[in-house]
Amino acid sequence: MTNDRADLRHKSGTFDLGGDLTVNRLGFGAMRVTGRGVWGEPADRAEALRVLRRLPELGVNFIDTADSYGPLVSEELIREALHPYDGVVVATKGRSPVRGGTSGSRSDVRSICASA
Amino acid sequence: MMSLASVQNMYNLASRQSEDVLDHCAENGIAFIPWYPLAAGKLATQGSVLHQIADRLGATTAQVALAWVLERSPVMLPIPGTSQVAHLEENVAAAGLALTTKDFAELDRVGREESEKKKKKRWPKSVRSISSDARAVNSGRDARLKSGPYLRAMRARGTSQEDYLLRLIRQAAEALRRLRHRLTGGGDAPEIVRMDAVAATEVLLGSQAAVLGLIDPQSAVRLVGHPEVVALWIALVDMEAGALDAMGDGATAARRRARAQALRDAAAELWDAPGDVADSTES
Repeated sequence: MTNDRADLRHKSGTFDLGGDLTVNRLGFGAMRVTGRGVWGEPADRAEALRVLRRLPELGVNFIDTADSYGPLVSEELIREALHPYDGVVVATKGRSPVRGGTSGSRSDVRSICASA
Repeated sequence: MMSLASVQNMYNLASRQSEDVLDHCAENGIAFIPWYPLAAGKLATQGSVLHQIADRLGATTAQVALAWVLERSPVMLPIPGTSQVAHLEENVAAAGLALTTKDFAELDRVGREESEKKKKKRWPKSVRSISSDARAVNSGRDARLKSGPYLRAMRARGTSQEDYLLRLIRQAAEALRRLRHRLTGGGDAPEIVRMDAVAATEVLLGSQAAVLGLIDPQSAVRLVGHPEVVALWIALVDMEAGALDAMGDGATAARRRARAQALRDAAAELWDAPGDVADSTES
């Protein structure tokens, strides 16, 4: 596994997110680990968890998700598979203003992050 | 001024509308996250340039498309997703494909050509009519809506549209049941339940959700055009109000309830079938 990790870094290089958060360039979008239509639990939960656990082994250390994937299913699976996220960067989203929804305000973004 | 760390735009070998944004990102050290990074559209057909290069490298066309995207710029951060380990490993292996300068340039050329072709295609008339309705309603000129082009377009599109609607309706009903349980006995924080009710509403109403939340209830109900969708929407707004009550925000809860009631009244007037929408979702 150590070789895999070295390989990926060597192969596609790294990027410094925001200038100081270094990740390997090939990341993973966690929208597909939910059910059909990005809704609910995935058809094969065990395989979805295997996919997430395989990521750091392959050197994929940048994961993109959102509270709206599922909703919450994607973030919950990531926590189950990868907590405490050793060396993995998980990016999630604060939603844009929608009437009656999250406003993108500091408290809403905090509540979204805390639920991840 | 806020500094941008990353941009997510539609971008892949065959969708190149954001070349200028990508160049700007590269100049300023901003990460560019391409949507649908594996896609190659018609470029992936048998005998194509992409297919020939893939065959020569012993790779799939998706792998070559991904390798090209990675090669395109050092600020490119593709995040292909999958639910299968084998597919994940295939994607990661693409990072190790070495494209020659000639292969890269050739793929660049056919990709740009394909992207130009797609640009010339127009949206189907039914879609254009919906978006112009939304614009008209949004700016308070709802005269167009009264002629009902949206409703006619919905009927004209027939079965596949119906299947899509049925799926949305089923999903929203499931979400509603889960949320009810979580609010009454599931032990979840009402803040989370409220957030999920809003998220479910956004999925149910799609890209028009923001507009529908702003306009008067009569226009909103007509624009949605489907009694079942409206019924679920109302039930989700009520759910949101319940969560707001539990959060101790009685004033906002009352406003949401009033909105739900106004939508219910508008639906009853339009379809002449009041019914108890909350019960219809339980079955």
